[in-house]
Amino acid sequence: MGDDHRGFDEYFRGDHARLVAFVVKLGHGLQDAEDVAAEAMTQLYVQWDVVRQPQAWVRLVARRLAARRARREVERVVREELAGRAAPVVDQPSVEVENALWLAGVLDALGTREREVLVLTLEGFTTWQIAEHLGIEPATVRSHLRRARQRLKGHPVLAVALPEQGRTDG
Amino acid sequence: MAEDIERHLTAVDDALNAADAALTAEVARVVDVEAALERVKRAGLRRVTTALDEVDIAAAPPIIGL
Repeated sequence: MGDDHRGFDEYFRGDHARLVAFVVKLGHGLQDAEDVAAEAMTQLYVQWDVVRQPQAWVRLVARRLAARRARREVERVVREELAGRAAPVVDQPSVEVENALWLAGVLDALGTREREVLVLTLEGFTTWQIAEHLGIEPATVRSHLRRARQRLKGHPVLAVALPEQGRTDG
Repeated sequence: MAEDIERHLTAVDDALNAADAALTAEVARVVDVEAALERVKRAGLRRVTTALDEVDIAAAPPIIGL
């Protein structure tokens, strides 16, 4: 059984933090992101001997899991509100990571599809891969990406982080 | 004009990539990767074992007389 999972530990150590950060960028709290990453990695472990591109595979699984989790959370809140119960407990990031989470805050300015496309692009997915995964046309992916970048261009928090010099020769 | 816009968008991409790297580094700092790995392997092994048990049960010959 052990041989079936050769290389998994090394892969996990190299990609785990990036995977958690990926889910955070999709708009989830750190604790939720850790839980989603753990479940996605567990599914990867089970299928380790047949998955050919683990980095892409685990992100697509994580995105689906995170979306399902968000949907369940909304349903729970609605149920509890209808029942007149207390407000839900919101997953808050620890003080330590709060500063690093400003990127997630910036991405909140985007629509859901724009955000997904931009985050998947940051992860290194091609336009075609994103189109296939989201079930939309490549032209639509490019359009979402263009709109996302345009929208972030004027974002006050991101503007502070923009490099002073940029590229001066075209 | 178009070059100015493109230059600015490239700067946006650079800022996003830098922020992305900072976020990942911070997550790596606060998350215990070894503990997470152990939990995942335990859960994964449990699922693999359960699946194999189910295959064994399905493949087992019927018990005559019961």
